[in-house]
Amino acid sequence: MQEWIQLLIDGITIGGVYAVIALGYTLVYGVLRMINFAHGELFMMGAFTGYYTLNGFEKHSSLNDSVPVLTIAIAIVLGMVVAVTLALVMERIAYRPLRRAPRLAPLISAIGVSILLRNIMLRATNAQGKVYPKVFPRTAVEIGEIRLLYVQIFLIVLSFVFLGLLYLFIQRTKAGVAIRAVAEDRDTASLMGINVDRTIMTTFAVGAALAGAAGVVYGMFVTTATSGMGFIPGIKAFTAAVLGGIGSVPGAMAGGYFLGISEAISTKFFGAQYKDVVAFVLLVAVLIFRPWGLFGKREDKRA
Amino acid sequence: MKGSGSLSSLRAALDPGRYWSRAGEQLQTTTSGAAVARFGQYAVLPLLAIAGGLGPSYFGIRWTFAILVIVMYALLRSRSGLFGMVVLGAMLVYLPHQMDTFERGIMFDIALYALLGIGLNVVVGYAGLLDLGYVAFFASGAYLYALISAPQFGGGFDVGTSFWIVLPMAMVLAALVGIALGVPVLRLRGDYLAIVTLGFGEIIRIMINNQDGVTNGPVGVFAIPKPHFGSTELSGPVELYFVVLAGCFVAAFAAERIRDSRVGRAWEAIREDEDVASSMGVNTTAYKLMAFAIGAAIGGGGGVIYSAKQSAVFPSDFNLDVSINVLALVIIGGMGNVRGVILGAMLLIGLPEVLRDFSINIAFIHLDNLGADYRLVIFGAALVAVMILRPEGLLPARRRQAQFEPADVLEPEVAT
Amino acid sequence: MSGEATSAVAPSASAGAPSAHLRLDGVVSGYGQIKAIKGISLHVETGEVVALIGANGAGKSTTLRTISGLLRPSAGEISFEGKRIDRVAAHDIVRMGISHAPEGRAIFGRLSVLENLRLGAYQRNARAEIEQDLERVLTLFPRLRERVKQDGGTLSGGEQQMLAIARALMARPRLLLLDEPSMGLSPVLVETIFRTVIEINRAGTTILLVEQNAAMALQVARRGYVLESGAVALEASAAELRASDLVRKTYLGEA
Ligand SMILES: Nc1ncnc2c1ncn2[C@@H]1O[C@H](COP(=O)(O)OP(=O)(O)OP(=O)(O)O)[C@@H](O)[C@H]1O
Ligand SMILES: [Mg+2]
Repeated sequence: MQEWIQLLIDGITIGGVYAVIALGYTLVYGVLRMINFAHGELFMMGAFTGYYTLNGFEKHSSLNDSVPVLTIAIAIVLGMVVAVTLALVMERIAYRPLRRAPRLAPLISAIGVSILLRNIMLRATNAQGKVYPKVFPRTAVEIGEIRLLYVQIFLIVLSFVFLGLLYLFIQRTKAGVAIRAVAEDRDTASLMGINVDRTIMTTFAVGAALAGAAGVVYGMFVTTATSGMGFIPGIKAFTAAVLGGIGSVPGAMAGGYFLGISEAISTKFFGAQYKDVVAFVLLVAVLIFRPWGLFGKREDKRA
Repeated sequence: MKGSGSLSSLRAALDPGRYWSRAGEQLQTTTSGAAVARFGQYAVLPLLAIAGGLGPSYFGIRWTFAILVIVMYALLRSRSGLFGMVVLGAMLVYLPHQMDTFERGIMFDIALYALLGIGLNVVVGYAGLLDLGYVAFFASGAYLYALISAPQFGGGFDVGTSFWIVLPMAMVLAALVGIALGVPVLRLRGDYLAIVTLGFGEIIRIMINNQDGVTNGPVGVFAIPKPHFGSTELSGPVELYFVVLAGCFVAAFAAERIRDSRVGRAWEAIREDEDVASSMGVNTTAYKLMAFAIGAAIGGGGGVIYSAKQSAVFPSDFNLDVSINVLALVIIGGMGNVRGVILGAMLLIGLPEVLRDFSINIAFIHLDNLGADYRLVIFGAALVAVMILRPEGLLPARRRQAQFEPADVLEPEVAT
Repeated sequence: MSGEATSAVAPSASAGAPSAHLRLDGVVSGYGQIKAIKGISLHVETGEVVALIGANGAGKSTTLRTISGLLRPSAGEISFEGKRIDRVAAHDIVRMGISHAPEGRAIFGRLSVLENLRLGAYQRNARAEIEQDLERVLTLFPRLRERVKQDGGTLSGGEQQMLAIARALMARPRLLLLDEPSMGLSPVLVETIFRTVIEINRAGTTILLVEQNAAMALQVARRGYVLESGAVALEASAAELRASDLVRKTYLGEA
């Protein structure tokens, strides 16, 4: 029983990360029908920003020890700022000129951006992973056999908070409704007076902010930032978005947790080395049998 | 449209599409006579090449390569298909004799990737199926040869001849893998297909990595024997380069023949609009699987040659980067067009290698070993730049500029 | 962002300003290489209902799409209340006072009816006024009131058409472009819709009406244009059009 609870907690931990990143995929896919292949790299850049910020505080002050809440908050905000800036630049330079290009062009361009960012960071860090300073005590809360790191609790809670905020943003704000309208029908949205270009930028920015924040927190959790760290979580998060029905915000959230928990449980049966295979098999199975997602309703394809 | 001679050839260089459309019509008449003539294009190349002596042996690799690319580009864009191919073939055959081992290695890589590109082009360019897991077929070919022939698995059978037996076997195996992977994804389109095939590629790699008992896991397979041709061992990069080059010619010839046949027209219909194609009675299932199978077979063949060249294979050789490189060269070169694939391979595989020890030292900017350290940075930026400047690729296929409009994505469900 | 230089023009004068409300002058527009309209000139005066009729593919919808900024004309001029609008982005044209209920309704199926209606008022900020207008359109279309919480996609065809018109009204337009509001509706509903169109017009909104149902359109409209293959073939008062041979044979189905 305790083992199962432990697996569940581990699954929720990583699932929250997937869910937060997945929102970026699902939102951008919604408005542009495009997989932003470089989205995982925004997460990675967030993690590096977190490292540089916290490391700066560590080197030049004792704030990490006295007010860790403040330094972590600053790191997260900076991670978001960096990711949003990058996302807006990539949208403007690499994607917007290709809105009317052949279908594969934006995808290749996104792959290019992904390779570019990964290798810039690889050079900038001389291929060395960056180890976060200890802002959280690496101790765990132990209940029976169940272990929960403090940073893990933080990560779980923060994921919930971000998901909640995003849900409110999409459902309740004018900008959120505009995003949903553009996702459904760009021309009609512009007839409503919605500035489509600006809405697309907002979409990128929102997705990037989430990815950047997730990067910082995830970096603290795994304690290292590397240039390749965005890739696998990126693909996983995309899988999560598909599991939930791409384009669907609640679906991406549910998909993230579902994938995280499935992976955690699968390690018990197949071992950790097959965790990625499990994710991909899930992805393939869902696309084949329920292409509208595990949680979505079937929708008849419109003519 | 007709101007003075030089003007119209200049126009041809600036606007290939217009000329290709004419050249395409001519080539469309695929009578058997024309077929023989076209096969001739490929068959006479080695002879002409050896006779032709334009070896710039004293230029060094960088200049040679630059000249090669420029000449290629001009020739491929111009109307003179036959002449261009002959000159190209001559250079491709002759040049390696003037090179050192490192440079020959580069030529081998270019040719190998061109071969893979020709295979993937069948899937992506002809049938319009976006495949990001092409490495799976390459890996299955490479491991098949490695496992059958390497001494650590009991020495396999007669190493002298096994290569030529394994090669077709690997192609058949890869084709079967292609069909096996193709069946479940038949209903998927566009980006979804891309991600699922990417997943397949990763699954195959992870399996190879983890099935230690069968594949020796991450440690890899060593001492893979070289092929023999008669009694000569094809051991050096030049010999194996010629094997790949021959493979390229055969694959290119076969691929273009198929494209111009009934099958090719079916692919074109599927690429344009699958629903329309199937409502017109095209058996889309069969033709899509055929594209997967043919593309996979070529990839598998490439894997066997790679395995023989490297003498050792590791699971990490078969990661997503291979798939992305091949796809990128197909698309940057110009999808649906074998000439574009060749150009793409030269630029994407050759250029970074040639630039490996290139340095920039301007004022306070010191970038040493630009090629070695920054090649992937440049590669990423180049992908973006080419897509923005020429989204159809450098050498778009004839009659194809206005195609694959963003029609076949699944309707997403929005925030319900 | 580009091409929005003339944005944010405040809705100054209310309906009732003199001189041509909307004017098209030799407008050429289409899709890529295809020229769907080839030099259309027409005008709509303040307070009028003007009908635009023509066969399938004549270019009626293209004309409306060009006016509302979804398409950019390759030649010609369009002005609205004296200001050039042919280079203004679609979302800024709404702000200037033109609202377009497009062909085929084009409601947001995954948004609720209420969200659809509020989107109509997207570029407006005065909350109280918006609530007032919401009340007004729900009174105009009582069937929508019962369904405000429902997803747009779950409405019937007729209800969707009502929603499309109501949504367009939420922008408080001074010019309303209606593209085939009667398409696919039962005769009773067509009647209702047209009665509402008249009501809207009486309340002070100028209307440019595209219709297949020429008989209905010419009852409601004061003037009309007949479009053929992307050009104006005939322009006259509604009564004259009803009497003309061309219209009677081709569009009213009389022998
Ligand atoms: N998106 C498009 N791309 C290319 N051509 C188009 C497009 N939309 C319309 N057309 C063409 O433009 C011409 C005019 O179309 P339009 O929709 O304006 O006709 P219409 O008068 O509204 O017809 P209907 O009464 O059937 O609605 C037609 O020949 C049509 O085929
Ligand atoms: Mg129409």
